[in-house]
Amino acid sequence: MAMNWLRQLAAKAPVPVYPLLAGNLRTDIQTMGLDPRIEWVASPRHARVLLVAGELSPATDRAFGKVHDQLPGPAASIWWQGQPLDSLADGATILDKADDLGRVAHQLQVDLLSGKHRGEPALCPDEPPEPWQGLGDIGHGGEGMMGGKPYGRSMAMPTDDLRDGLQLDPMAFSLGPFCSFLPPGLEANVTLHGDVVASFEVCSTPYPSLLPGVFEKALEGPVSITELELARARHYLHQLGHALWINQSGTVAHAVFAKARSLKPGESLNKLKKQLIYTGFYRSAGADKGVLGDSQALMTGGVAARACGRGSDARVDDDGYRSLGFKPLVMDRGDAAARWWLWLEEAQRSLQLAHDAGPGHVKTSNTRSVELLRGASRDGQLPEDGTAMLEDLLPGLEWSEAMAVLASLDLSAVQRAGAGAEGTL
Amino acid sequence: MELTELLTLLIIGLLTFAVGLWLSGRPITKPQYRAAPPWPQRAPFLGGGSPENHAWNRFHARYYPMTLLLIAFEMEMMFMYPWAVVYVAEGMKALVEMGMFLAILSVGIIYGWREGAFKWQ
Amino acid sequence: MTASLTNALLVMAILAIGVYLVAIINRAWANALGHSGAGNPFTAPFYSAASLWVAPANTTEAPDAMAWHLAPVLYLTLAAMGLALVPWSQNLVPVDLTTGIVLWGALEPLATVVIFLHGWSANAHLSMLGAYRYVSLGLSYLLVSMFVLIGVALPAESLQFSAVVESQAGLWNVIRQPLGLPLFLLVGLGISFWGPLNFADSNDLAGGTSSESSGRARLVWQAGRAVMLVAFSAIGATAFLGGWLGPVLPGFVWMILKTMVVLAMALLLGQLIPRFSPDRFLTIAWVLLLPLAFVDLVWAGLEALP
Repeated sequence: MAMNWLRQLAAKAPVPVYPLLAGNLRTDIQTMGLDPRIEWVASPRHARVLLVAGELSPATDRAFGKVHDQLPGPAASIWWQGQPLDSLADGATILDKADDLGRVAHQLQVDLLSGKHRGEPALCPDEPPEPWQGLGDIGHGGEGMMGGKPYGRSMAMPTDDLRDGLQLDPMAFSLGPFCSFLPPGLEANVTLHGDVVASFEVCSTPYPSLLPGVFEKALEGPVSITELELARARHYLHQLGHALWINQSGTVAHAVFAKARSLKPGESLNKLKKQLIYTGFYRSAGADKGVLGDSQALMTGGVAARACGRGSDARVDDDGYRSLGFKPLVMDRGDAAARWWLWLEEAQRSLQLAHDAGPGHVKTSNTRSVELLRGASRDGQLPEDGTAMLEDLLPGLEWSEAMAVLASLDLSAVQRAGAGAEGTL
Repeated sequence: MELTELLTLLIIGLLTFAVGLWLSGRPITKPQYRAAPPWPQRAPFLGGGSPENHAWNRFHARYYPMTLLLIAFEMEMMFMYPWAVVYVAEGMKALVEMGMFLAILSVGIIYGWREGAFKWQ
Repeated sequence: MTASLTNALLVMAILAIGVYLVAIINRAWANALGHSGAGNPFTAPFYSAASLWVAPANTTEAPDAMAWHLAPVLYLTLAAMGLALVPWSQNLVPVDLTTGIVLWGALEPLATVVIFLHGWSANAHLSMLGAYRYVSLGLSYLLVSMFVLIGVALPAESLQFSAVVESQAGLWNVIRQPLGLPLFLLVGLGISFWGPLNFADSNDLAGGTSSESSGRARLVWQAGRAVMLVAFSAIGATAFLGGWLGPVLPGFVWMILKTMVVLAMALLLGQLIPRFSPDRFLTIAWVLLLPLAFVDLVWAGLEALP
């Protein structure tokens, strides 16, 4: 089909894709974003294509419908690692290999721009959220001072402010589960006073994170420390990259993801470390906030606990690691910046361990207690979801600080791949 | 001369305004009456969540005390523009005058700081 | 009249080239910093602009439609008026107002109003948060900017930008008033809400004030930001780097080079430095930057006395 020259130019641009995560797949998404033919966007309004990553559960169908319909049409979806919804299954684009995303998305963009693909039908009914027009004396939608719906939604009722007791309107909404700035799957009822979080109520927990294959094996028997530590370094770099992205360093984040894709044992991260120090990353929004209490630190485990001065690291109980002279890295500040700092330090040390262990020579020996990406396994028990602590941790923080603190914590439950909802717990 | 400059400025303003209007395309000015995008597309983006009330409310601008301080300084700018032009001619006297003025305003800043006016209260 | 029209068209041309230049330099920096997806700096901006152009428009449930439509256009207009004040060479000053600095000082708060309007008028939650948060920033950099600019007006004994350039014939202001340019760079990042001072359109708000807009409206908004950054860089080069002054090369070449240096510096800072929290920036701006601006002014004053 013919396209005018503008559309031909537009087709050459990176495809703006909104990643909708129906599983804990952020790391994969970040790697897929390295393809220059696509670009992740923060809002579906900026997207032409929706990538649905993971298997949608019926519980999130409504929320999915909302986000799906918010892409300005004509827009289309790509399904990866999950089945398309029945209502969109006809002619759905299914992605088999992650590497193919650039090609598939680009083809979809050409089809959408040329009119060959007419866009997907909306999933929600086309009616106003609260039909209000014409109700009441002057069509404002209700009775009395505060009874109307003058702008299509109810008005807020004043409440006491949490800091100074002024009577102003709270801003209340539910967020998620498909927010790019929240952990995937997290759904919360948020009340804001101004831009300060007044309450943060978790309605549904984030998707559990699945153990990478090598960690799965480490729970069963000895594995190469090199392999294990490379996977760990990669994971921490991705976490750090997300925090960088939240705090507006998208370019640096991109470079971090690119580095994480091809990590080599013994590689030095010093340049990145210095860059983050000198550009003030450890003083950026939220850096000095989100200090965990004792029980919260224990509940979170892993890096978050060590950033609070708790030296628990299951690797000290492992003969393989002991032979390499392993000592846990500990900080005592316990805030978001401490966790970001430790992520990078841990990644650096993991690369060093991977180098010292040599290719496949030193293996782990302890399978009962394995230091995972978040916390440790104890006799087959994997870390449980800890998002409930956000209800105590986030209120009182300014919005950007709250989001940065969220980006410094990994709270989702850990599961073995293939385990059902009951898991091994 | 000055009028010509102002005329040029006006032309530039109008021209950019017109180009900007053309660039931004046909507005959907009255969504109720025109072919607007469907309602679900128009809902505020909250990642699948929904709002309890509309966004326009009595927002708590936590930097409010600072806005008052800003007004004090903005008034001072009025005095400062003509001062800058005659400064070299007036010499040390002008510097001392402005120094006094700034010193008084600085007391305001220090007081505001002590009272926590620059905090997100 | 003819001269006015020619000058107006010249500014429009600079405006268009400026947007392209920002896109090129920004992508070049991204490439240099290890971003693999930035594409060819010279062609990619056209593709991205075309992609925004053909993307469908969006609206919200009950926006202030007029304000929402006009805010990007007004922002672009303000930026263009700022750009008009720049003296490109001794004989080439599109708008050579004797009160140029006053006009620039008026554009800055108006830009804050327009940015707020853009976020507010969508009647959506995340974009409104971005709008209110931006106002705190707008209020804090405003004074710093004005004190610094008054500082350059002192030795010139004039509020005219071309006079400011001529006053630097002996020594550029960047050396005479060393605090000026660094403080002014921060103002540039603030007024175009770039990088560390992107409180309005940030990732933690899914795009903030532009989280609800798409297509051509967003294109104008992005273009406005770019023009604002160019205008600021050119004003910075005029006020601190001696404008058109320089040996051998013609004046306007010097001016273009200097503008590009300031622009490249601002864009690099924008990509490297993460965003501050508004709370902390507010305190820094009033307790540290504003007194520094006072010092800069007194320094400029003492230096300007014969």
